[in-house]
Amino acid sequence: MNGDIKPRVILVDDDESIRIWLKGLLVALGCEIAGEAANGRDGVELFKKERPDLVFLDVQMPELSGDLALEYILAADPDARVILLTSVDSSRFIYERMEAGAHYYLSKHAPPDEFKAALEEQINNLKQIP
Amino acid sequence: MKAAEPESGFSMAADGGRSLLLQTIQSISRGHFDALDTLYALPGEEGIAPEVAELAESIGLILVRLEARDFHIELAAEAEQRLQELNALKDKYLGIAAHDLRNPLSSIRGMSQMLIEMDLDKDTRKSFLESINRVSNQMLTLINDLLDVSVIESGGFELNLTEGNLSELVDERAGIATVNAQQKKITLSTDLQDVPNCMFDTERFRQVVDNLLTNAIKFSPSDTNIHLTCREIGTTIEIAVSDQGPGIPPEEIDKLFGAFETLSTRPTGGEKSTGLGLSIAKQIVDSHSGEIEVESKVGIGTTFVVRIPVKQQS
Repeated sequence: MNGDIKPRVILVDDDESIRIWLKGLLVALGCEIAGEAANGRDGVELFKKERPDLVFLDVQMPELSGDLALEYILAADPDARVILLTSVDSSRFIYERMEAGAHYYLSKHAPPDEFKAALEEQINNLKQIP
Repeated sequence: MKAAEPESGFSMAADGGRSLLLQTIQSISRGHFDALDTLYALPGEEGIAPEVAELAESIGLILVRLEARDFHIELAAEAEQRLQELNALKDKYLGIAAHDLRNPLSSIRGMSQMLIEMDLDKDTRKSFLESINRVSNQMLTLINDLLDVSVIESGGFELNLTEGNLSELVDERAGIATVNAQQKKITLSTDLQDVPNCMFDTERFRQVVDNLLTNAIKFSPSDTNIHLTCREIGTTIEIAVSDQGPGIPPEEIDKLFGAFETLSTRPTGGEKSTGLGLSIAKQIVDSHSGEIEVESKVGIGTTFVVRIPVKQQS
């Protein structure tokens, strides 16, 4: 992806305040928000409709959990880049999700500086994809 | 109490007194200690050696103790069951703390740090500040509810009864709820009749009415109406809140007033629901010697009715 083009991302999290925060942060980091959803089912539909460059997906959600949403998204596009937003820090939990095909994970409760740095790295990686 | 006696045709010679011993032991184990008298009273020649009789007594007493132990085991099992229930409740508290408090706190921290460090545009700043404000209020409500539930669970729930007018209280709460209803394009109509003054805990009853109104707004779709009434019926004052929301499935009605019970119906505007409000409301109404009832039809709407006696029993 050309460095000048804004990565298109979607945000799927049932917590409105988390979405508002991440939206602000992603825009500040040069992303375009293609859409947002408050549950897994709507998130999968949004993915199919928008085909974004990057998906931010919460794990614990109503309607359809993030785990299942991840499966559906990868079934729709095996190359989809999904970054999981977790509240759980156990390495086994994270290992299982990475095995399931998640591209990366971010702990929502990490210190803001760390969170921002990790997010920035992911966005920059995306920009360097030819 | 009848002592154990040898069966008719009983012969000591036949089984060496084994049947009599067994009978006596059984009688003792049921608390019939006078059975020993029969044993000791047998004629000398046919009688049982005193050592054997003592042994029978000991065995009988052991059986009595075993039964007592069984009883204590039962008590312990009941205590363990209660402990497990409390443990499950504690897990739910922790679950709420982990999800419903940690998420908003993380977002508040993230947004406030960005506000401090970054040069954000006006719209982003406004949406951050509004979100921080809204989320803080939600967290405060949640913490207050958790504290209420914990007071209720520990049995330390006390009312501060004063004389007041429920119609006026309902009117006051409706005025405040109208603002929230309008934001979701929901109208609020009222039919508040003159009712006699009665004794109630003003702050707690505000909580009840607020909870019913908040729930009705939370679960109602746009362009619907919520109807609120207050009237005197017989010896009670009745408050009713009717909505045109999705209704509650019959199989979920029983769970409605339990602590931490959230049902399949979801808030229409992405609001939070921890399932504590109705449990607290029921506790407050119950402690006023009142009752809270619900009538609901899926696809039509739900009505919550609260009745409290005009004259509180002391």
